[in-house]
Amino acid sequence: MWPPVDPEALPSKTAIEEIKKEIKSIESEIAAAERVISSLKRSILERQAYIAPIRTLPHEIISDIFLDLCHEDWRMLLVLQGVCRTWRMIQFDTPLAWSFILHDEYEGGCTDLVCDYLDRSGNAALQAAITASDPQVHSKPGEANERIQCIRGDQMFINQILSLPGNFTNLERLILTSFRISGQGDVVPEWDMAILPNLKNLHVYSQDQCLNAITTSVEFPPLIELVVICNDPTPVHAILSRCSHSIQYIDVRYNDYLNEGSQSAPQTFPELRFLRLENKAERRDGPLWHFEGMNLGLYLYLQKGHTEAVVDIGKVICLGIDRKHNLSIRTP
Amino acid sequence: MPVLLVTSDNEQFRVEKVVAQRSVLIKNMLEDVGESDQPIPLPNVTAPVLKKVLEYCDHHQTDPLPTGDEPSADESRKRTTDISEWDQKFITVDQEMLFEIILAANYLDIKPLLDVGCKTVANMIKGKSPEEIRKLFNIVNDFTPEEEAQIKKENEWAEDR
Repeated sequence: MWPPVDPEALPSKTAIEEIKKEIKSIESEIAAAERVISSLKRSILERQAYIAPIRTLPHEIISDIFLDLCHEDWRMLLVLQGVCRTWRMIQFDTPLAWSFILHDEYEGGCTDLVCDYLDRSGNAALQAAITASDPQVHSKPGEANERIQCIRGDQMFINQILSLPGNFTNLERLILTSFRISGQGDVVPEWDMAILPNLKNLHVYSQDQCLNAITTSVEFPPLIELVVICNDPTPVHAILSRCSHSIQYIDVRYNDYLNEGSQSAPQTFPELRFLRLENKAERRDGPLWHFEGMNLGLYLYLQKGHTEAVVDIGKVICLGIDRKHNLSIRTP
Repeated sequence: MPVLLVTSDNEQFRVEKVVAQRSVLIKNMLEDVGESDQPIPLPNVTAPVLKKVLEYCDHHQTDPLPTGDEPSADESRKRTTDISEWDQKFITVDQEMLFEIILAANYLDIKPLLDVGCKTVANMIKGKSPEEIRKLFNIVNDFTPEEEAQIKKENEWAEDR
């Protein structure tokens, strides 16, 4: 029965206070224990993080993973740099990752970010699609094109840029790659290189149809550097014949040659300083290249695979030939 | 002619030369020593990892070997995170094994396997926030509050897109 009839058995206020004190003391012990648990948990996490398997990967591999991600969605770049200091550092040390900035609706207001991209892309060419909604393009039509010195991308992308109104008089470097960044589209059948009067460096990577399309141009800028990776190197003759007097650097690597037994007509290359030829195919069916009239002498001549060239070896300062194929070198 | 490979934990694997030569490192070693039945030591690879790597090499033994000496592989290589069905099944392993396979592929110079590993990690990261990525890989957020604010500012513009 409650309350108890015996007044002796009635709980005193002091007793209640005692119990409250005891509860408080236990609660404070629990809080202290929870703090210890939480600290231990944090230390487990720190230790786990220290031995996390991803930490075993060298920076160059992480950088490669970043490139895979960023080339699919450039926004990932911003996510990745926010993970930890190490990743941010790796990201900053990966210029290629900062070379893609695609905006379909450039509206200004991101100058800082674009400057960051320019800084961090290092030597890698920065690819940026400027559309008609760019207010600067609206206010000064065509002038933006004149600022472009280098474009890299697949042929559809580059063609889109070059189709913009205005001149590309400062474009010096054109790099055609197989990255598809501009969606599906037809192959561009013809190129007019006359709109790029100051183009100095032309790189065409694994774009055979594009290489053929380039040779359709009636006028050609005086190239200094030509780098081509292709299946059939036949169009390279046509390009070289149009810039033989200016070209200093030629690097051609091919996999397949369709016109068996053909020879390129002898050409004079007064400025040529670097020549690399490589036939990646096992078949011994490469074209016979002719390089003559090198006034300055070749600083470096590299030859790899079944490929042959007529070169004045007496003018070669540094010679590298393929040990595996042990090619005989022909001289004019 | 089979080749004898010895792992860091002293386990021996006898494999066909064509399979072993998927590794550029082993291919070069074999070319250097010529015809020999000497075991090839692989001090950076353990037996369970080598077993997986050899499974990959065996399956891909008839694939064309990558030349890998392009002046700029980054230019010519089409970067995607697509992985074939077999490779995807093969690489479905725990994180520790995944990173060990990547390290072994890097050490043994097996470019296609390294690509599969990197793409797998890329696919794990795809679509996640920095916090989710940290949680996934046990990465500690070691930014100072000032650095965090700076990153937030940098990312604000992209988040609106």
